[in-house]
Amino acid sequence: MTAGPIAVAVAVFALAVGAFPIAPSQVLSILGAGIGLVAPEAIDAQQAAVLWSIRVPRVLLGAAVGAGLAVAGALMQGLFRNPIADPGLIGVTSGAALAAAFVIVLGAVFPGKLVRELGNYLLPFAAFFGGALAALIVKHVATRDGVTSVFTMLLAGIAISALASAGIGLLAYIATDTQLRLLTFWTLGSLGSANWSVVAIVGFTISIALILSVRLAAPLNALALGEFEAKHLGVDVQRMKNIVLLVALAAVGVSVAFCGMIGFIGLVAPHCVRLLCGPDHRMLLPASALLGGTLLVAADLVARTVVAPAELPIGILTALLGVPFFVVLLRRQHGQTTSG
Amino acid sequence: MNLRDSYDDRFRGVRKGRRMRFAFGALIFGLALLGVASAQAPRVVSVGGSLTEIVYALGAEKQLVAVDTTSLYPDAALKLPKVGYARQLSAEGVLALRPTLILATSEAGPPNALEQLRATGVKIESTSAEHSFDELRNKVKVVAAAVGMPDAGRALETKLVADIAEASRWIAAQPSRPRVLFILSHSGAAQVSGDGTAADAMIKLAGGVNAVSGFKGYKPLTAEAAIGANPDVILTTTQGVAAIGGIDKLLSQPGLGLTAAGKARRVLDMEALYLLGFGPRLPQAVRELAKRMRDPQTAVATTARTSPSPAP
Amino acid sequence: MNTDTQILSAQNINVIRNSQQLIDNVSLDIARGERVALIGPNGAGKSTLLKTLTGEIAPNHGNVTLFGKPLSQWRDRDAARVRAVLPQATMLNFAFTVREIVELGRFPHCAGALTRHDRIIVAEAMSAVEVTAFAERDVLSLSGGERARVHAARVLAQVWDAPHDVSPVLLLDEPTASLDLRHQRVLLQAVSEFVKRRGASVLAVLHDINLTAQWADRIVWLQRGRIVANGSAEQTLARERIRDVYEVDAEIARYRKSQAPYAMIDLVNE
Repeated sequence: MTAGPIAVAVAVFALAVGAFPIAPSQVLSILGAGIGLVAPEAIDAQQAAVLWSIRVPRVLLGAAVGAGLAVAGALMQGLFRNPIADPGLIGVTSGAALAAAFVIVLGAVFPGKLVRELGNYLLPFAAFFGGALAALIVKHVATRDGVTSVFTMLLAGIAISALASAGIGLLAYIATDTQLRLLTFWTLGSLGSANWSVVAIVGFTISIALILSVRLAAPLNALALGEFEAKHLGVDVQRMKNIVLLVALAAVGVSVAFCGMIGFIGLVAPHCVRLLCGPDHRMLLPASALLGGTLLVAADLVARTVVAPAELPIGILTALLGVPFFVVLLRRQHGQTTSG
Repeated sequence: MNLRDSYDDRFRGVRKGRRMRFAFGALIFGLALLGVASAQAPRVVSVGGSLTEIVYALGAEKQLVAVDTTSLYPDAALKLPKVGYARQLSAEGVLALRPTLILATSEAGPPNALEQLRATGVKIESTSAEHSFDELRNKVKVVAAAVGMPDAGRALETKLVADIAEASRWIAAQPSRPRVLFILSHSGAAQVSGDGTAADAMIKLAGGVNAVSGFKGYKPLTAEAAIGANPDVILTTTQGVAAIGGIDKLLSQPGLGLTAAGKARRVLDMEALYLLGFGPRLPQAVRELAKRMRDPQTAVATTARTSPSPAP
Repeated sequence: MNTDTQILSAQNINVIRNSQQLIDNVSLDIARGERVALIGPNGAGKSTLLKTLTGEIAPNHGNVTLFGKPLSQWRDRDAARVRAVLPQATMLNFAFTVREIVELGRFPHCAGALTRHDRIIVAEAMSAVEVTAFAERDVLSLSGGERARVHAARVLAQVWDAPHDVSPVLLLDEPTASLDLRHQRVLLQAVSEFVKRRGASVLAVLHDINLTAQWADRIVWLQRGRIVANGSAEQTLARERIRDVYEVDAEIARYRKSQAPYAMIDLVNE
């Protein structure tokens, strides 16, 4: 497999390139100094600061969020047994968006003490809470007698998303220009929140999600045949659904909370992997994580350099980079099925 | 491959080598220059239209290396590199400009980027985004001190105080207190400005009465509220008129046509940064607004008007 | 376990859905090594009965036991090791290969990490129903009949090597529906061979009355949710019964080779 080296190359490139010029050799020296291999006198303090406090956390955050969104997408597609399922299907994204809009537009209603205590974490905290609440409502609506209907969940997810967009619309209506602008930026996503504490929170949550997802791979393969078929193959389907939803909720929730809405990765990464390596989840889940992380790091590299010293919202880039790639793969697949 | 080709290839190889060496040399030279520059001359990034105006008014524009997207005045500021939207700064992008100083209002963000900038040792001078003449004076003081021109700062402040005093005298002599409704219509639904907004402060400074009050911030314009407010004058921004598609479109908003201002077509527009920026053109803007909102002939210009430039 | 006689047993099953009685007081026992065919007209409740026996449908009344233990007390994983179910149709949206699908049959034993032993079983099951030739092809590109055989191979692989003290159970819903003549024979022979080798018990919903008569040890006739006959072909295949159950006229004859009865449907209106 060449995917691993490509991912590493993209990560190294993303570390070496940015608006702030740092020569590749310096990047190596600074990283070396960080782990005690190079004498600290040999490096420029400001370059080191840029690399360690801005670029490294950002690349790590991008890799974690990309991997999390891609795996959540793959899990949702497996759960819904549908290759066009999106990680936002269970309402996490729209719930988080509504909460974020609430904080942006009506932030003043929060008690001053809460705002001071949470500081920059008020919005992520609220967004995660909103996303989790929406997903739990969807799950609750779709569950009867301890059995969750995936089909009902799909409809409930659509309903709650519609409700959330109505709420967002209302908030947008009463928002000032500035608030509207912030809201727009939020819906286009950004990795600008990257710092070491954010990397720690997001990285930890998504690592747990990825570890849990490994155990879901084989049962999801069985589920591809149908829910009863999976049950007859010995899968505890309801338990698996609960874990899938929990993992997706955690991965998407924490990503959306800190980085806003980053579209397309969750749909495109698993789909691309499926076209290249087949639908086996034992391969699909880790490969999606790798591809999702790589894509997002690459997209962010472009986002933060192409209009430097400003930066583009990353959601624009994930669509701009993802769609052509996706279309090429679809065309290739189409060619194969029609000729074969 | 014939001889000539291979000769050409070799020759090209030599040229390429030379070009690369030259490029490398230039890069070293450039970096060295950059290092020298950062050690000596102050490099200022201004994030906020009014702050940028103050830098120019002080004559400190040589120190400016970049501005944000709200820095639209004077024209020279438009030619500087842009660090993007004030609330969505890129820490590394700003750092790449090797700034020694960042001038910002409390609106600049996101907080994480500001923290990262501070962490790398860049000085950030932050001012409040409050809409008052006192805050303008404070901004002038802060900026003048930060760019190392306290004398120019004092001179500008004195001039501003004198100008606003003159404007106030003129306003105090006017018998009328027109009811003014400010309409913001840059995007989406048209909104009216309540207490605590820049427009509210301007209307009051110009000796008018804000036709809507009792709520903070902006509220969507509704027909009944507009009729209830019954303004004598409708105030908006030049950009707003352009965005909505002209004065007729603006007056066709529900209810507006039934107000005193609407019936008489008393609509006046001023350039957004000039009117709402609370920069060094404030006294001038206050005077212009005070005069025009009392002028019975007031109606929106059909041609785009450029705001008058202050003497720096 | 009182395994020897009662492998799969249903007592007084009633299934009511939307105030319609789909299964009406059905009791059924399947013994070790027995091949039972479930036949009856469309809508008689064959699939409903089969699904009740697998636990997919909970009966409103009565209970089903597998090796003497009520279905509700079985853990999915334990049941899957001794009992395999072939549904009428399997909807698949992902392009798994034939081998990957058959390998899924081994899930209850290895949870996705196949051993050499599992791979041998997969190969044997594939060859038993003749799908080895297209083992690496994408299932979605296969014809309906080919696909049906792939799932049959998966189900066989699932219980291919059940522990020696238990006889595995196969529940098959119309396994031959989309197969050509040759492959109907291949499939039913593969199942028979499996029954002989492992002492397995099979309940299969079938439509072809003559294939059924030749293959099954016992035929359960279902009509409007009720068992109307239950016995060997010799005992139950009769002109009157075919008229009662299917409302068609038929003529019963016998094969020269085995003297087994068969029915010829009368298409001529008089």
